[in-house]
Amino acid sequence: MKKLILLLLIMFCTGCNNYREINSLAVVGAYGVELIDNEYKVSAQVVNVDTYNTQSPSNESPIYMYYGNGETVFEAVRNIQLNATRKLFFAQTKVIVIDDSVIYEGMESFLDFIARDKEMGLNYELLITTEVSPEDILSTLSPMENFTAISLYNNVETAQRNYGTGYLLTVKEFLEKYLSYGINNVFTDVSLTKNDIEKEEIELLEKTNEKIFTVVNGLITFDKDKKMLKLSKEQSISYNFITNHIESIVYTAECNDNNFSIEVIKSNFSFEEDLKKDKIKIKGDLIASVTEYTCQWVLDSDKTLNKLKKIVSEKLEKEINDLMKMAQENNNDFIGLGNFIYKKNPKYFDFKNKSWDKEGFKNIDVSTKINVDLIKQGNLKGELKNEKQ
Amino acid sequence: MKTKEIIEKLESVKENIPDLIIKSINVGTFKNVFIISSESVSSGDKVNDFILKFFSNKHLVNEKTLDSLKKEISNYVPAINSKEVTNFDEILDAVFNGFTVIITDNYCLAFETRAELDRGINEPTSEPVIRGPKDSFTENYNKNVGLIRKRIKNKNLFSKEMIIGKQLKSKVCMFYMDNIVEDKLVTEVYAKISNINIDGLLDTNYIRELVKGENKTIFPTILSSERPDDVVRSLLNGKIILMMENSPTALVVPTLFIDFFQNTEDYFQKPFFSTFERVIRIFAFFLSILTPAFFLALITFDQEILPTSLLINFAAQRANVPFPALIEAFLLCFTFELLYEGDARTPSARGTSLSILGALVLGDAAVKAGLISPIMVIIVAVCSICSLLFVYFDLQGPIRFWRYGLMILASGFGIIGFFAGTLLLVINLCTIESFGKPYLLPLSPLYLNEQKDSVLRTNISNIKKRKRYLTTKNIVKRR
Repeated sequence: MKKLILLLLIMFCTGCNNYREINSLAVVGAYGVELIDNEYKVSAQVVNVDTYNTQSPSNESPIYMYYGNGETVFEAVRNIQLNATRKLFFAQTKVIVIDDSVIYEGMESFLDFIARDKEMGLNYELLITTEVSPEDILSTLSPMENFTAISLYNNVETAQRNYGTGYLLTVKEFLEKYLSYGINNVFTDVSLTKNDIEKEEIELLEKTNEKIFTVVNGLITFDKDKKMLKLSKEQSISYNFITNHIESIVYTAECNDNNFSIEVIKSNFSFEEDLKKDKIKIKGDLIASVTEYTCQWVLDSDKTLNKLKKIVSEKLEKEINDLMKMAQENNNDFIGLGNFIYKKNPKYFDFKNKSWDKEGFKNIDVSTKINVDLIKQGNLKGELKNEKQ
Repeated sequence: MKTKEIIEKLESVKENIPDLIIKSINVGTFKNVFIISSESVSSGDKVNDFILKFFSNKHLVNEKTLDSLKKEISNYVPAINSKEVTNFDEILDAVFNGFTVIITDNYCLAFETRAELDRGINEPTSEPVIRGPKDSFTENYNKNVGLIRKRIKNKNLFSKEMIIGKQLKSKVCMFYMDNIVEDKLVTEVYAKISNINIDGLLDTNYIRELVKGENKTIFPTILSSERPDDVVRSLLNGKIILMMENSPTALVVPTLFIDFFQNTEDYFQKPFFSTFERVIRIFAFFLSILTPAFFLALITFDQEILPTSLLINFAAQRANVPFPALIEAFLLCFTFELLYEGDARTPSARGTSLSILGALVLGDAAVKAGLISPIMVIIVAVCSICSLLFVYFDLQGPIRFWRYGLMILASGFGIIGFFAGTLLLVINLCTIESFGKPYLLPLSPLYLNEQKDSVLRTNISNIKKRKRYLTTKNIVKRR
């Protein structure tokens, strides 16, 4: 009993360390970092809790923006607190948007900040803006979600899974890739539908025509010399295929005179190495269903199906080969072949002292082999035709 | 002992015990036959019908002289239960037990003429059932024994009676199936019960506290039941039942933690459904203890754990509440405890107004006034409802104790305090023993072969052996 009392007394010596009431927090959904005149500017998107109150819903804006400047990122974050009356709570952050200026000039301080800060964790997404400032992105309201950070996140997620044009990069993955050999980060570039934005009002959002949305521009990547490389739509899709991030996308190919579409249900890509001959083979298996078909050939036959499979795989192989060629020409191994080799055989290339991007990457001969399986034809069996003819 | 002395003494005692009846009659040539009875515990009808009528018949019809009144009384008075008493104290004991004593010529004989001083056999009130037997124990000892005996028609149902209480002298009896129960347990329980030293027992629940070495913990290690079928099931499992006169509850020893989650009704339903209900009960037990504490830890310390939308929702609901979360939670819990206690003590005719007021005060007005947040009402309601799920009322005390303890820990140290408290609870449960048996049997120590009827309830036809951890005698239940 004495021991128990002693134990309790010891526990009470902590003095409620870290105690904070839930309603004294200002929940930060997303924040942006940019570099202006060698000063970091952090803009924090704080959720306006009052709009969630079911007892007395208010018509205020669902988010507030707070800004802070500072020599370091952390100082800027602290300076936000000067304006905000409640304590900013960063642990629920969903998205961080950084300006490309941070990549060009202020990477070290930023990286150290996100890796060191104990409240944030590493499990949120990192997006990049090149055309507009992060502040503009974050102050955009979304008509669907009260919580705009979530809508931004959903935007990119849909773009990645169903279109192949976005890429969800968590801060953890970003740091891992940054610190690894032979791989460069690929970011999602977000922008706005209009560039000449004024600070919007909630009334503006109610007029549907004048809405300003955040859009996913595509993927961009930077090599070790911070040279930017933009990926086209096809290249983005190929990249997402190779990195196994496609969930279901529609892929259209040509047959003779017309087009046909397939929906990829499942895809699985892997690398196969033959380093003695400096060769890497990209192997892919696709399972897809035909979703639209207007070609002349009779669909309900093995011959046609094989033909279609061949068309799709050849097209995709060509696109992936183009992507690899582009990467090799630009000395930017964002796909991570170097990283794959480093894990398989670290002695193949002197990653520590030489630049893989410039010296090693271009020597690799990349080939692609894709195997497509068409398993369904939708509700129709064969093509739609008039029986009388 | 002289008749005259006894009567004189009785006359002097009667001053303070006015319900004592001392009647003097003459039977033929025998003068000074005294009939001593009690107006309150004896039935006047029985005394009239079987004793006085006997004497008057002798007097009127049989004119011839009786040779020996003693022989006549002991042989021919129509009463099944009679005993000879020898001294003054025994006479009084017998009279207070509902006997009528006939004194003649220095010879005392007592006949049972007990009055029915109890309600009949009613439906169980504190352990209601939907399906199954609906009789319950009453205050009448013999009726209670009868309720058990009519279910177990077996010579192996042993009962050991003992008189406990210097002033009240109540009869306490322990029942067990001699061919099933462990001998060690019988001697242990017998020793513990017969060592009880107190001036009076009012109810079997006194025994729960008086048994030495039990109930150091806040968890109940002796189960009380008012249902004969429940008690008989325990007897068949090799447990011992304690009953006493004037008490409508029987005690079951030893009692394990799992017993509070196994109702007799479980065996009257499909096995799957019973298992489901048991899982719900165990879940509710922990939910009832842990919910408020976990919630407090989340909203005052570790908001990182909450999903964002939930966090915003909670923050919005708590936006206008002026108190810290702990005060808010205690305010609500305390109000609930008030209602709960008030409801228990209110006659049912006044109960409705209380529940309406409670619903208004707790559910609506307090939230609208901004004193408490709706989510806290939900949390407290959930944990309170969960605590009402158990047929055996005894579990509610420990549930409340641990709930409030954990709430304080959680609001002082967040999730760390919460888990430390939960750990303490588990350690506490693991260290309890009930009459030498680990409390968490058969879950800890784990008996894999004995899981057919613990949390699970498999088909009765699959349970072929008795619970080995309770008894090893006569282990085969059915072939």
